[in-house]
Amino acid sequence: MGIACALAILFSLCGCGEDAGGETKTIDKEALAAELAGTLEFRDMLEAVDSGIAGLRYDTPENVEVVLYAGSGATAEEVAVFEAPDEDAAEEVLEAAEIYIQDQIDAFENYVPEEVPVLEKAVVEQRGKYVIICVTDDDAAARKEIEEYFD
Amino acid sequence: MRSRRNANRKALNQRNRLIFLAVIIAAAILIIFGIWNLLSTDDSDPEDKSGSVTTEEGKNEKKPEPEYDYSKAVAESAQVGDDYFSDAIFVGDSRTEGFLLYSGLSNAVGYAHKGLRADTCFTDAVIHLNGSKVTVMDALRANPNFSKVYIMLGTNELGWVYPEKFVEGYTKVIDEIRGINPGALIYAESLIPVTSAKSASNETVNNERIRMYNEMIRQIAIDKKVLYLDVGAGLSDENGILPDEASSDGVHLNKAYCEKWLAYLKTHTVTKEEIDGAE
Repeated sequence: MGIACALAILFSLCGCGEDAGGETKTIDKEALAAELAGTLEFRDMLEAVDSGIAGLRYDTPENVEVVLYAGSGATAEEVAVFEAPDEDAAEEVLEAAEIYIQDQIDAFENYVPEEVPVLEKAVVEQRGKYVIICVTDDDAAARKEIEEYFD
Repeated sequence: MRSRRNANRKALNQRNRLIFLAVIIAAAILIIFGIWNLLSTDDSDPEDKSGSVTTEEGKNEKKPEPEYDYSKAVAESAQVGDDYFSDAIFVGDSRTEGFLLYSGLSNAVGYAHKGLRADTCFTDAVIHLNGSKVTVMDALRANPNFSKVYIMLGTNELGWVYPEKFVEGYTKVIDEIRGINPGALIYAESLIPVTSAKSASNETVNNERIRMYNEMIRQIAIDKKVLYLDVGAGLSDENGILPDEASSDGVHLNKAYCEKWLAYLKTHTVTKEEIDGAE
């Protein structure tokens, strides 16, 4: 009985974030990016960037799509939602995203040092085949919204 | 009777002589005028399409064409398409980063980085290229087949105590680009003004300093024979100030004004023929 319960718990945990078929949950990345950019507090005005140009900003593979909302450059604030072909590819995107954030920290250190603490608490998360970057003062609200979106 | 006839004949002969003399004098005048015309070196002769002048030695030489006037900002021209920029490189700081992100130009290559200065184009490895980071100059050397370069540098040097150092650095940038690709067109963009609030609140990043730096950039353009592109004038209001609607922090342009920037570039271009034909 105990083993059966343990197995049931194990299988339910494995299903977390996945649909009934056991595949990575598919979300509307445009909608998620728009929601984050539209509901969170930002000091600069974030605007949608053309997807072709957005892809050049990060060192990610060509088969990765990204939706980007960025500011004018006055701050480091931005929202980016990446969709990779699968989870393995998303791991590479996660790595690229973390390197990008470090590059931003290095750049803003001597440019607008006040942005460094904001970058240091940036949300950089992988959810299945998706990677989300959110640089905002209110990182807690960003994490909560992302959590709810993937539930 | 006979004497009258003789008198008449004499008068006639005298008249004929006078007529003949008048004809001779008229002919002489015509000949002299003709010779004078031939020898005339009037350069404004509209009939002279050969473009040649006769020198003191009597040799025909090509009239010197006026040189391209580098003291003037690039004039308004017919609008070009996005493809004009497919072999262009944009070198600049955070404002150029914004331009590359928001102008809508998807085919342009940009070697831009926040905080970039003329001198750090040679020293700071901030440009991502083929998986590593290199300086602006190294990036240009790695991709030398550009036909035009747009430079906007100076905003991060506005606070310098010795502005002549900026002139030195900017001049060096031009010399280096010329060394990498002698045939490329070089557009030296004027610095875009800031908003009135930003200008009033900042000791260095203000429109008075920007005007001073733009004068230096214009002089560099004259001295180095590059094209001065008055982008600043194209984006500012009638008082030479950046409108409030253009920027959230008074300095960095929003999407709408980056698009306006591109629109200005598209209607202010020069062809190599215009320069070569003038020189």
